Amino acid sequence: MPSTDPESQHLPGSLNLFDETRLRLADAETLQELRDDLLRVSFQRRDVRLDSGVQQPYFFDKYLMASRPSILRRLARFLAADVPAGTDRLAAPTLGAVAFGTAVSLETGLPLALVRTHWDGTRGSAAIEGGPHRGETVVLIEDVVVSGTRALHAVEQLRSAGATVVAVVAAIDCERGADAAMGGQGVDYVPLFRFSDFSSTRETR
Amino acid sequence: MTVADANRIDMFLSELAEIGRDDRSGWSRMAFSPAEREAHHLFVRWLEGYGLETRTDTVGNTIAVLPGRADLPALATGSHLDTVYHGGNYDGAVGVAAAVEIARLLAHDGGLQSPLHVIAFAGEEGARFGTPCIGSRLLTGAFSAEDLRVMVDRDGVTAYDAAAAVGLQPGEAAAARSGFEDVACFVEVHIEQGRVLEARERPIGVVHSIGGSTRVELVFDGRADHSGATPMWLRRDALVAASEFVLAVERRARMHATTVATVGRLDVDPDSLTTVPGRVVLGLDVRDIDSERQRDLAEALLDDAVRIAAGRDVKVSARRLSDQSPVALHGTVQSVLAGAASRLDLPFITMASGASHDAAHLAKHVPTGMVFVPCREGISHSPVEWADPQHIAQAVDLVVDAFRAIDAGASL
Repeated sequence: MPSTDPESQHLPGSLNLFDETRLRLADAETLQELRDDLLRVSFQRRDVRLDSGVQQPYFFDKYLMASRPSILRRLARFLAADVPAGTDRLAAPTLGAVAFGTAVSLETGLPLALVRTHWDGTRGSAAIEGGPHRGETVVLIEDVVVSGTRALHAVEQLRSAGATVVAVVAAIDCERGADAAMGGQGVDYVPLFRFSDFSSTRETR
Repeated sequence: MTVADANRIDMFLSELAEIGRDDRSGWSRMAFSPAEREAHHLFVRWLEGYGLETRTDTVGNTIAVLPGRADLPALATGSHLDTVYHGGNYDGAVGVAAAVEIARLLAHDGGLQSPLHVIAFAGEEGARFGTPCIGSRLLTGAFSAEDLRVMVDRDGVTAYDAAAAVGLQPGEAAAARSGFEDVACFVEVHIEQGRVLEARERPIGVVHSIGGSTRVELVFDGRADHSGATPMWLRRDALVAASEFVLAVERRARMHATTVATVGRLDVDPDSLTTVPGRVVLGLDVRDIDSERQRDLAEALLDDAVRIAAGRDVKVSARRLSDQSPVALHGTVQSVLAGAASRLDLPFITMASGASHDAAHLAKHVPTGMVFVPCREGISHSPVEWADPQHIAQAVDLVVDAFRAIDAGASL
């Protein structure tokens, strides 16, 4: 049997090789690094009018998050941890959340459905793709939630297709009332970060 | 508008080359040495006549300010002037030479709305005290005077005493600290220190992330035996175990495009042709731009070490030498730099930096970008290190264009 050398245990930085975690960072530290990386990579300070009609002096560019594997993979790991046990399937609204949904699907192993945000009823396409089945328990994965309009539209579509939508798990909540809107529709709303988590940083000041 | 002059950049580097030459080879302008101070004085002399106000802080960072026409936060650029032992004259120096030229061009054209800060950081190389980016970390508040007291060079001199010996005030390190509230953006020009730009035949790299590193020392303890009298089945060869480990490092690192892992040091004891190696101490350096992959890979390698040691009845122990997370640089600054490169018709690629830089520490406080220029054959930390002044001049024009765009209102 190998044994760790007792003589070296007193050296600075000595690792116990039989510990479960020796070099991995604690989740709290990883989460803070992820927050800082998200801010640096995706935060844009300019006036934007969002799909929902809301005007904001800033926005988080979800595509800049999704295009970086070093960010998306960490996001997926934390989002996956917020998917409740007993979930049958994940769902993601097009277009922005598709990469997020796929990443969480890969992380959890749960199947994914894609919900068309602007479905025009074109022949050969469906409002929900990926073959969901009636009666499945579904969790919606969202990227950056402002008012929650798109998420709730997707929840409605999934429900009318016979799914039981129990939660919306999102990367960032902009604290523009999505909490109340989701509550009103009877879904648990679990954002990984809220805008106030970023408010101590100079970028958002 | 004035454009960068490659000859001036070359002249600055030639003058700098007279400082800190090492009798044995190359340059040894070590952190907190008289040679480093002399280089900072040269930097100040080069800025004379451009209307900048220059000061050196308590820990040796030299900061020059070109006033702006409006009351706005500053645009900042710079790098370092110290070297490794027997290093080259381009690592760091290129970014300072570029910063001097950026200041000259902007001053010549009447300055900007925003002030310009030109910075030569102290003590960037970890070669002397085992810790890199000392000046920039004191500046951002990541380090304090106490940290300087525990860093020791190979002669037993602390960074604190070394700084005091060259006339700095390490006890007043806190006075150097800045929240960077008055800086809107920092851009560092640096040689790539690798061969990617040469291979792609591009003069410019816009850096999107700065890699992190996890460094571990492993000791394999077997049994030193007579190489003739000990049959193979009786051996507990530490070097064979270590070799198996080195191959595991290569195999695992090859699995990801952004990961590099290296065993660059291997001490064999007793290091004798006719003795079965009894003990091996090796150094592992795992780098990635993905924070979790970096640690996951290092963890997997520790498991490999335990497995390999078990299979060979060899003992293994490990200790962490250092651990730094990667840093994603600001997307907004990257866009402005890429926009400037496109406007100037400079072919570029976006890339990760494998090496660490002052910019990684600045990025935690201020929107930060980095511009790489190729260096000949990718050689760095060597006396034959060289970068083409034309490429440096192109990087200067790029940063000037980007700063003008930010000055004109490009959002960060």
